Amino acid sequence: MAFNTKDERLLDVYALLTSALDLKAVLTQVLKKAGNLLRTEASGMLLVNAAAGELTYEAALGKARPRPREQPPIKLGAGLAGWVAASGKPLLAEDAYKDPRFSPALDQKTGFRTKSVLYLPLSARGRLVGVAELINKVDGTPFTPADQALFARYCAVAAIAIDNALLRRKAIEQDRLGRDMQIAEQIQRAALPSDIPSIRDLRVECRSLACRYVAGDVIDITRLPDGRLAVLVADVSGKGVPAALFAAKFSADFDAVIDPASGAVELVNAGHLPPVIVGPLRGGSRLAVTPGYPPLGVAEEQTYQSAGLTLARGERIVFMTDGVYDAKAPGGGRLGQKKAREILADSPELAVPRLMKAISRFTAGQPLADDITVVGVGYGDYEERTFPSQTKFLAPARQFVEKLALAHGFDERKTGAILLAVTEAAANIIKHTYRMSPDGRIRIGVERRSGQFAVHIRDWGDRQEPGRFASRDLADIRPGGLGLRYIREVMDVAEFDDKLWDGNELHMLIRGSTKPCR
Amino acid sequence: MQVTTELLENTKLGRAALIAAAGEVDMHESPRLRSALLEAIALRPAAVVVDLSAVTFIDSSGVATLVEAMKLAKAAGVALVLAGMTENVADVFALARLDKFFRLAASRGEALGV
Repeated sequence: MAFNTKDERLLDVYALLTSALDLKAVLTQVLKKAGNLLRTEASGMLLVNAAAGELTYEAALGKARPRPREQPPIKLGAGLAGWVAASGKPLLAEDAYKDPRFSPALDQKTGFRTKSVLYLPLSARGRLVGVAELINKVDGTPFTPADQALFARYCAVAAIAIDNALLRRKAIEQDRLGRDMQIAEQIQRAALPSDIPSIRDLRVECRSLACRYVAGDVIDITRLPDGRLAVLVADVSGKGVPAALFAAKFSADFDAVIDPASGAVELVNAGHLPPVIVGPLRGGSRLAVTPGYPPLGVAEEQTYQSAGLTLARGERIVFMTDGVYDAKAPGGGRLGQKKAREILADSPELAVPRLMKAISRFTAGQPLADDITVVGVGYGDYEERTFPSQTKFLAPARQFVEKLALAHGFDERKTGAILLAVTEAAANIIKHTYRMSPDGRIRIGVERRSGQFAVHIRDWGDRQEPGRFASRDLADIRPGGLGLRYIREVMDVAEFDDKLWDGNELHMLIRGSTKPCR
Repeated sequence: MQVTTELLENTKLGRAALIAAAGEVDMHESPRLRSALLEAIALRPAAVVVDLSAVTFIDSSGVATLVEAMKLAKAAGVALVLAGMTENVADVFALARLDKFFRLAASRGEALGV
């Protein structure tokens, strides 16, 4: 499988992530590249002013929107762009004049004739940033669903570049003297995705450790309109502030698209070591070997072709930046590829958290030589649900797990024991992590394969110290401690994970099942 | 969870409060079981019998509630009996090694002799 010509051009947008941060320049670049990609006559970029409930034109190309900054703001919900912003949905009109939401006012003013239009909402880090507008194809044909799918992939990355520029502008406005550190930290925090899309049969995990204040690694994980998962892991050259500001010249990138229906992976590896694939066979692992390309930005004329591979159900592909292998022990030894693979291959369900734990043990608090980013994608029987941190949702959370435990072949008694462990874990999060605040989230992910049932319970609360809530002894039966006893008694494995950048996760495994998984 | 309390005279245990709980007892529901238990103990009957036969799920908050009630009952000179635990509920007590700590009966009938 290979990217077609258009897809190759799509890679171009990643360069935006590593280019200048000036908002106007970024917006113009985004429109130019989109115009090249889809051969359009005109285009516009509207940004959200959330306080005013409006969209404003910040940039435009072609004759449809002259002097964009002087255009009147558009109320959210009004016209085509306003509808896209309000609904968060894309909009494709073969003939704009046939759409009742379309307003011909601008055409009347400019004399431009709008025919076909394509609008996409731009979201970054779970927030609407703006709306991108493409008007008329040069060849006169209308936009197609294929154009929309391609443009959506483009916009997923473009939105991040725009959001970075917005953050930088905001930071500069806040502090004209420009404290680099602050700016960079803000951008960095925003560059780590917190809202990873929830896709059935794909379990996505990401972890990142910065070597110097702020990392030069960038992660983007999005769901494509066709339902596939797109993963970008970029290791921008240079460390610390300048790299995080994306002012660097080149970056090593993973660009992978994973199909939850088949396990098919399209992968471009530009300058990284191959990802590791671990499977249900203990100790087994393979490398996702694809043609090696230089990092983006090194060679001007380089084209990048994706290679295809397929994950079997129960396998997990793990993308790692060089920092993992380069992690140094106080004595000077490096973690190395062999050791990293061994840790990953021990248990696919625990591969990513165990690797992070091993790295922090190995480096023993020494400063990191390089940023460390790990993204794992498990393919197989996986479902997750997110519940508010309120006790009334404990029952629906149990129902979700109960259905899967029974489907897995556990009897009522064993299912009851699993529900006990899940309830205790969720109740502890509500009580201790969120301290009864009702606004938190708890995500329960259930990952199944033949002979094993894994439950991952994640929160977005304050970092918890695992040592602090050691199981209390028998004589002391206060609820918190008793809950942990239950979890340990019921589950074969319960490992607390404090290596997330925003929250905590408890990974629990229980062996057995009578029915084989699909 | 539903919880009802009934006062019975002349049982095997004497004047007894019968608390019948049904459904799931978790952190959301256990405060209601707790109030029912405290109110029953405050009546100073000879015994409080908690019928758990219709309880399908109980967690540590439910267990802790019953442990607290047991301690209060003891101090008040009231006998507390747990009756009719299903296998799933019994497992939760057994896991905490608390099955020996409570006075158990196979059913409310066995506990009350009615």
